[in-house]
Amino acid sequence: MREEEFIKQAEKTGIDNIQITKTLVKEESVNYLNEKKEANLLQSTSYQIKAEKNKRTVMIKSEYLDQSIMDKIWIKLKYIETANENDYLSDTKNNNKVENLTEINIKEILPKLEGILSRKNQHKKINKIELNYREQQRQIRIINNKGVDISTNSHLNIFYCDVVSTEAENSVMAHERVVASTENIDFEKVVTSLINETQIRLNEQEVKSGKYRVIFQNKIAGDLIDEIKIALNADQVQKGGSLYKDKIGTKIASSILNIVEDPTNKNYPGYTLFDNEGTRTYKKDVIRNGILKTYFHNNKTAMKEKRQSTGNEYGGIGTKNLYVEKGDKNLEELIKEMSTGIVITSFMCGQNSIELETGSISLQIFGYLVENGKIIGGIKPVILTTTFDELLNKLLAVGNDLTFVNTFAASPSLLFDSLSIAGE
Amino acid sequence: MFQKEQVEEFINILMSTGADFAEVFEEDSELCDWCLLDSKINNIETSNNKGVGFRIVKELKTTYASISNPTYEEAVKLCQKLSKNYSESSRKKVVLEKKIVKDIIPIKIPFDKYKAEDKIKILKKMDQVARKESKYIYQVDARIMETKGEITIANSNGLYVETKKNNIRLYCSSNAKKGENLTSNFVRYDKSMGYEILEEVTPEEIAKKSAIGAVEKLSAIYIKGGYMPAIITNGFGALLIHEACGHGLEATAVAPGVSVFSNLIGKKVASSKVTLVDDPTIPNEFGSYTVDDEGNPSQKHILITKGILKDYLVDYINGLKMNHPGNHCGRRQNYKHIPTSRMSNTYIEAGTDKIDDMIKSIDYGIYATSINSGSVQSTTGNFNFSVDNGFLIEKGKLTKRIKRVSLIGNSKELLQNIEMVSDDLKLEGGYCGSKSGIIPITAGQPTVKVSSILVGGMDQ
Repeated sequence: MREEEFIKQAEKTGIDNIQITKTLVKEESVNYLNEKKEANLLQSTSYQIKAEKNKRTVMIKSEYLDQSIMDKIWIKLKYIETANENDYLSDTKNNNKVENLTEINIKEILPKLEGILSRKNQHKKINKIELNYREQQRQIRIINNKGVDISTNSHLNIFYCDVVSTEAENSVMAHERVVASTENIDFEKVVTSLINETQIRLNEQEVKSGKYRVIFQNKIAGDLIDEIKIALNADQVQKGGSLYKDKIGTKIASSILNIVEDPTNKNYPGYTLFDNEGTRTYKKDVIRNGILKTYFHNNKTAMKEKRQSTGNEYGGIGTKNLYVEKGDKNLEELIKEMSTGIVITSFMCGQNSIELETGSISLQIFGYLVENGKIIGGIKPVILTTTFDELLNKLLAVGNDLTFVNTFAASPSLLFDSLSIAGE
Repeated sequence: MFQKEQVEEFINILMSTGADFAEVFEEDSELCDWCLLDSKINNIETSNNKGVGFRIVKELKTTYASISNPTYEEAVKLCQKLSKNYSESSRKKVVLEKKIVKDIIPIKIPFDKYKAEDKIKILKKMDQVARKESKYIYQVDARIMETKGEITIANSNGLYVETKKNNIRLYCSSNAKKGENLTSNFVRYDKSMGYEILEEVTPEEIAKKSAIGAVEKLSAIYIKGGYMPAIITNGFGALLIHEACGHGLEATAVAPGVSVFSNLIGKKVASSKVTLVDDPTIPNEFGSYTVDDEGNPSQKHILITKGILKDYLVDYINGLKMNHPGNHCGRRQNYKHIPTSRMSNTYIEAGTDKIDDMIKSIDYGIYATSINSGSVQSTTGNFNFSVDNGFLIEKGKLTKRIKRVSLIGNSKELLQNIEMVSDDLKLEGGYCGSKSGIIPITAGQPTVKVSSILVGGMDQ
């Protein structure tokens, strides 16, 4: 059933308001693990349906529209107990149509990727190179019973690379992800950098337990910000599950920390003019000079506080182009400023290693040991334990190397003072 | 769902240009998540997966394509597109033969036979019991997650099989507050069954445990980190072995020779106290299946016997690469994913040591009573997991409660450091994310003692 027909049917059955967000994705990807190759084509259509009756709203996600979905809407409406009136788009002046998604063909990229795999044979210590390249086209259409019909297309290229080097009994892994909406990705540069990283880190140093200055390198600093930002999701705050409840206007971080969300910036990969509910996105201060400025809202959470949505509904509350504003020092200068400490090049943790109620963070970290402003080798894996409060207030310097590794959050390299490391 | 004759046609189109192997995986499944918050039913999230995945393999190189809710014509077109990857002629026509496999996931009370009002009563009961447990409880998030679906799998070896999935999770998370101190604690119970799950566990038990845990955490302290002995609880404490060992034994990493356990069959990889089993045939366990996601009947795998590596978990295509017959553990989250070898219900067999002896043997260490997530690099063997609740052990006694910490290690060392294994084997369900998506699994073990592991902490 087409969206228009479903909306008409819904109104006939007595639904007060209904809005459908249709997402069409075409994707082609290839994965090389040493010589093993896997290619993948994906074509998916999904619907997010929001329906309201008597100020009660339900949401359904589905890969099709038919009578059974309509029946589910009514069953849900019968049992929902929370009144959660939603805001629905009504301004039709932005109505538009977009071109159909085109076919994707990544064949031209394959020789470049296969050329890189041969690097494995050039260094005897490398025992794994894994490459994953993906091109994705996405079309989002939002249509409702008030006559609104807006669409947008986007295109993304994503490259992920893993290198593992081994010497004697010791193995180290380095990885990086690059996301670009328009420009070509420099695959050689990424892989060279990772090979160099593993060669340095094979020379592993023991790290004693204690307090250390720490740099989160730009390629993973965004992931750290992405974890912390969940505590600013309004649904988390409203249910009492965030340490940042009632903290708008309060200083929660070092005054050199400025975090912004700007989905309207075409140069960044998360560019979108509206969220999945059709709310126009806009550039917003999240943290300015260390002071918390806003939570992230969708319609449902905004209505609870009788305010406007901040345009952060993406199949759940999320962000696009959230980033730490860059400073003026490159990585080398940050390392000199650090003098002695650890540069974190990657970290691992379980899904629940970060606790939003307390802000507690416990990460397995990998990287370089720095003494007297110079990298002297890698570190044996250790554990960094801190809290959001400690971390954000111990920020000493922000790098100038802002890099986006996904569409939701990014950061330049960040230097922190005196954090607890558990090691030898 | 497509008819068998249509599926046979898809297979023959895929094979028409000289592929070595082709497969069709069709799915129609849905998830329904009943949610209670602020003591009210605030959401009933539903989502579904309906579509087809086509796999074509030639000289061990795989091409996969998936499409949501296709018409017959769209499916044919996609198969034709895939077959254009090659240009030889077909070897022979494939004729599919329907295989009937005995169902090991019998359902007594299906989801749609259990009244919505009764499901709501379960959630309200959890809310009531958790809040009543302590004045410090200020929020309860209670859920019932139902997943069910029909699946058809067919391949160019002539296999055609129909199967299903049917999982249920009962979940309760309690938030506690005392002054500025906030904590949360969740408890879940996962099985592949219907509402007969209530014969095994009551909503009251789950809610009470969740609330007690949240309140107990209010008194937890940070410890100073470092290497120390650790006792890891039974049940989901087996995340230890899941991360340290389980992923490394999947052919996903073994076949290309990049696992820390590659080429080690017959070698001692763990302490002689460790016998490790992966068994998807246990009726109604969360990770169980009647056939794997390549259509092969489930079978039990003995992976490690008294510390000696005996076998890997091997799916069909990786099996061809390894000259291994494959042992029916190809799994995937849904039709959008290429299947690969994954764990199911993985557990360390019970030993004979006693927990009291374990505690008494430790001068300074920790007792992890609740573990909830982790991750691993199968190639390097570096892994971690998160201790959600636990105790400090000082001079052979449990003393203070400890705040959430990470434990990290390397597979090669950690497994050799398992020095005591108790007799209280327990299996608990959860979800595992890896190359072929997020799948239901069970991790199990008795309580074990590890002689040395790196524990995180804050130097205050």
